[in-house]
Amino acid sequence: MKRKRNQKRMVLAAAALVLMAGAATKEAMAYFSAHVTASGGHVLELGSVSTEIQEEVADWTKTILIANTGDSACYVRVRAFAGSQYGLTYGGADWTGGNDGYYYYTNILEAQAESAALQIKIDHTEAEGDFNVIVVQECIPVPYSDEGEPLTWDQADWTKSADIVKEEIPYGGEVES
Amino acid sequence: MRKRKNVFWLRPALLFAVSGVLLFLSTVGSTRAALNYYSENYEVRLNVSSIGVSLLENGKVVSSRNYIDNEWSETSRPLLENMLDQDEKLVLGRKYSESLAVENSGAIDSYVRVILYKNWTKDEEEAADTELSPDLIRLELTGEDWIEDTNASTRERTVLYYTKVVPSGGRTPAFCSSLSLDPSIGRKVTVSREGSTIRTAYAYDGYRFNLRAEVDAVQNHNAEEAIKSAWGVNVSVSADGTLSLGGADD
Repeated sequence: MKRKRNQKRMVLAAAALVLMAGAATKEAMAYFSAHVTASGGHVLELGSVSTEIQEEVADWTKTILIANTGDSACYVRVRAFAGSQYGLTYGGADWTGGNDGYYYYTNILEAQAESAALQIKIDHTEAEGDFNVIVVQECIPVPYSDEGEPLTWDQADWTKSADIVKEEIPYGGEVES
Repeated sequence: MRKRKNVFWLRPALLFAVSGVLLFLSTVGSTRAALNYYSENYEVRLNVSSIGVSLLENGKVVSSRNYIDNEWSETSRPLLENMLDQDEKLVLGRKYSESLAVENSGAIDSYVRVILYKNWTKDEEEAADTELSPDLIRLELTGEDWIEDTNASTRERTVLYYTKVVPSGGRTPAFCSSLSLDPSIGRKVTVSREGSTIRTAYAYDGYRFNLRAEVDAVQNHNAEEAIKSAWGVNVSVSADGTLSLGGADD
């Protein structure tokens, strides 16, 4: 009989504790909070930068024109190579010589536009037989400042090389660099 | 025999009555605490219970969520919507103005935190391309009264806490001032070989860069427990209300 009474007391006490715990839990959960989110983005269209060289030779003078055949503006530079006995003299509006042997077009060459002519005069007084004058031209996309203004041709970094992040080889595998 | 039966019920009844009184007293205690808190502004008690928060982009509300008249009121616009003019081309390296701040659009003072996500996706896919680096999406963080939880931040996610209480109607200083894309993106290429032909293509061309901002607000009253409960983070709040990361049990 006494044991039964003790059991009832314990049940009542446990019920009271559960009720009190429940009341306390409800109070602890009542914090005010709010949440908001927003997202957005843009597609990066880098376009392409490609150029083509046009050459005409007349009166021991090569006339060079560079055409921007891509869809982004670029800067271009040109250098000619010939045997040491053949002197080369450069000239042309908006072209200027750099310290590295290249001649730089000082204007931005817009997409689908053509540069002013660069004349390369060949000193042929010591010419003997056939010889070649090889013209190399390079281009880089126009770089921009933090404020979005285009940098000038001499502010551009012509020494940068491509950073190959993925190389796909013919048999289907990929080589990460 | 009858007398013994009465005694048997007396004690449990007494115990039950005591527990009922205790329960009642605990309820009264809570009510008194709440009344103490609201007593000074008792006539505006209905407003006190409303919380709200808004994300501001370049001074304008881009997204908001406020508890008004017993229901949530929400507005939302995309981020970076006005970053470019019509037909304007995105320029690598240029810093585009992206001033992001938080406004307390609710009726109670709050603490706020912001989680920024940045990633690259391709062709409307929702999943981020993990081969492309989120580091190349550059956000200029101001640090003005904002602290970064470096333990919770990753290359793709930045977690920032505002260390002051944002009063109702108040605004934080901007936590971000500009967005730019690293110019080195213009040098990253993929190369494919087909016989003697080598094709080079921009690795990031055609990819979409994404920015997502999540803003959380929580009541400033009983802030340490509230933040632990709402955000699962241990913080300490000094006497002047300045929040710092890490709690007493860290």
